[in-house]
Amino acid sequence: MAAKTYTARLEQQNAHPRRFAPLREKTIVYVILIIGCIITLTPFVWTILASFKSHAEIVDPINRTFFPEEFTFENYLTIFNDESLPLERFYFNSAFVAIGNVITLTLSSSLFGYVFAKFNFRFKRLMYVYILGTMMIPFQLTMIPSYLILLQFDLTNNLWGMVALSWFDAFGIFLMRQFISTIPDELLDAARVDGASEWHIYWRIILPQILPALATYGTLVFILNWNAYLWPLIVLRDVDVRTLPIILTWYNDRHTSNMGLQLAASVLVVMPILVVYLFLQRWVVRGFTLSGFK
Amino acid sequence: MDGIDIQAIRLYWLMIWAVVGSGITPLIFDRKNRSPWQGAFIGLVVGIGSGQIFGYLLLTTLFPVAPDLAGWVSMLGGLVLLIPLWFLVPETTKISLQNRGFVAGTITPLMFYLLVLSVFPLLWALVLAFFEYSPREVGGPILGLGGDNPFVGFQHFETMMSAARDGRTFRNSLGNTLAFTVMVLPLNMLITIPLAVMIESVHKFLKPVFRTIYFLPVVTSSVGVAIMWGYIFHAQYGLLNDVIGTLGVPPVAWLQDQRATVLGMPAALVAVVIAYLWQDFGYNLVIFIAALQGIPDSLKDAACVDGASSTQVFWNVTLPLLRPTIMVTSVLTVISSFQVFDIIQVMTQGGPGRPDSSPTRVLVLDIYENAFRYEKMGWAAAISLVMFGMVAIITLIQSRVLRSDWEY
Repeated sequence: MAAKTYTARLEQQNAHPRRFAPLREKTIVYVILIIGCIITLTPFVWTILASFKSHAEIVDPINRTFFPEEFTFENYLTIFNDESLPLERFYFNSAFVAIGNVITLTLSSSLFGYVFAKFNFRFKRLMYVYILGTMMIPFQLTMIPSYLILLQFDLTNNLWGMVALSWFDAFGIFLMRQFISTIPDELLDAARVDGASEWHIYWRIILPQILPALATYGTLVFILNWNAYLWPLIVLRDVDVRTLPIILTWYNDRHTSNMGLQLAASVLVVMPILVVYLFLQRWVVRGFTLSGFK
Repeated sequence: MDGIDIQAIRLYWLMIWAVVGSGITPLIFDRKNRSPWQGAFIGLVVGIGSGQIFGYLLLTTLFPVAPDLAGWVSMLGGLVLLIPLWFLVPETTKISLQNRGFVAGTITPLMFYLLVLSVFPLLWALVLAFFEYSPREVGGPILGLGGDNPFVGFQHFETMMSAARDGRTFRNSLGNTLAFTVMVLPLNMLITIPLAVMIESVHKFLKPVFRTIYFLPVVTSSVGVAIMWGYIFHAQYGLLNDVIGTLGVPPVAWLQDQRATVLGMPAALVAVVIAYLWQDFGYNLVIFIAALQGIPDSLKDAACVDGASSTQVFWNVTLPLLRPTIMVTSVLTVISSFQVFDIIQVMTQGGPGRPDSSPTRVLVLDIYENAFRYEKMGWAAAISLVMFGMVAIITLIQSRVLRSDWEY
């Protein structure tokens, strides 16, 4: 009898390689997951809805609403028509810093990754171990000297200052080295025999081969730089060179009493990156999980 | 720097090192190369960059000491990068000359970035911790140290233990950071591990949907997160007070009232912990999902066949196999929650209350304010050094405790 149940169970397992939980258990799982989604999405929904409320509705102490009673674009129009807030300028600043970093870091990381993966030179091991070691060092430790270096070269308050120091990223070099190591040497040797120069090989063979890794890494760099707060806050002190997150806090400090304006401004800052995320979801998630950045 | 025209000197460097660099490099590396332009170009860029940067550094450091010599000596600055170009490449290898040119051309800038952007700032931070330093003061000849930026020895570290206001603020921020980390780490694990297991068990078409939604906060700008949650925790207009108001609980001034407590913890600290958890949990979640996908089904199936319930499978099979992942994620979570700044700076500005007693003043905020608001960079560097030490020790302990010898 016992043996029979055992075989029966085994057959059931073979028929469904992934275990099917009982219905009740499954329902509980779905309910919990959906509650989790609601908790995750509520702050977004609440903020977006509130940004369409009038100031009077937000501060009304008696009639508290979740959905706007009276749908208004007033907050957004105020922001768009604010002469002292050239929005396109700040979007440009953020895009400049983010794209600039993507270009410098993908190029430098893939180049250095290639050299570490496929060549021998003096102190290679030492340098590589040191590079991996720098990943453990918190940014706050080198933040002050890095700022002093920029100050020395008069690059503070300058968008180029945000790109100038971004030629070296330990994680990027590590990631690219991992990917490039998997490219067979024979492929490179074949190209060498055909007379290709090393730069040619890097540009025409290595880069196309690691395109998925570059895309993953590039989106990660873009999002991290778009959202960066502490470093731009230190370096970019003048209003007209600021990136979006700092301009957001600056704007909110000037409109502390008007909640609706603050929320509309946050929506304008947060939304572009969420749209990017929804389109590039696969690369983004992979990039973040590979990195160990937060 | 009166008496010398820096711009003129820099222009001379530019010309001299451009010529020297572009002339020397192809001679050394690219003799057999079909195109000497490559080597010339590398040399040009390296020569100009090196001459400008190291020349300028030499000039600024040497000028107060020996004004007559500074201009001439700083000219040698361009050599700094041309030497490794030549030195780094081994002579007896199978690689061709052209190869050596490529390696030299790429390793030289890498050396430069490593030295200038990593080694140098690190050493500078170490040195700064023993000085009183402000960029506005007129300092001594080397990196502005000395002069009005005096050497103070271990004074900063003594201040940390003293009853002075700076010391009290520091100890308060250290305590808050530890409390923050101690709250975040277990809560994060308690949320993410079961959630990951649940997501793994649902239908494969729904998996990416859940993952996408749960990951949304991670890619959201932390300033945006802080403003959203600042609004939710708002004393008068906040969603949370509306909700607990319908349950008959009196409203709490979450972010303003220093004496308000939730379950014995300061309300402001609880508020930032919740906001931080909300933003952060999706990250560990996707790591756990990836790890769960790596566990072979055969192990779980074997346990099922032996009659284990799904709870038993979770405790006795899945969890032990997740141990290496738990180690990695908990180390990362500790490191990142030690560095929490954005959310707290925007939500509470380190308040409520005075810095030496407020419940949300954290270490990075202390470093930031001291360094860039009060320009006490030496003191700030000392704090960052302590923070680095703490993170290193905790990471080390964690990796010892959670180390596992499991293989599958």
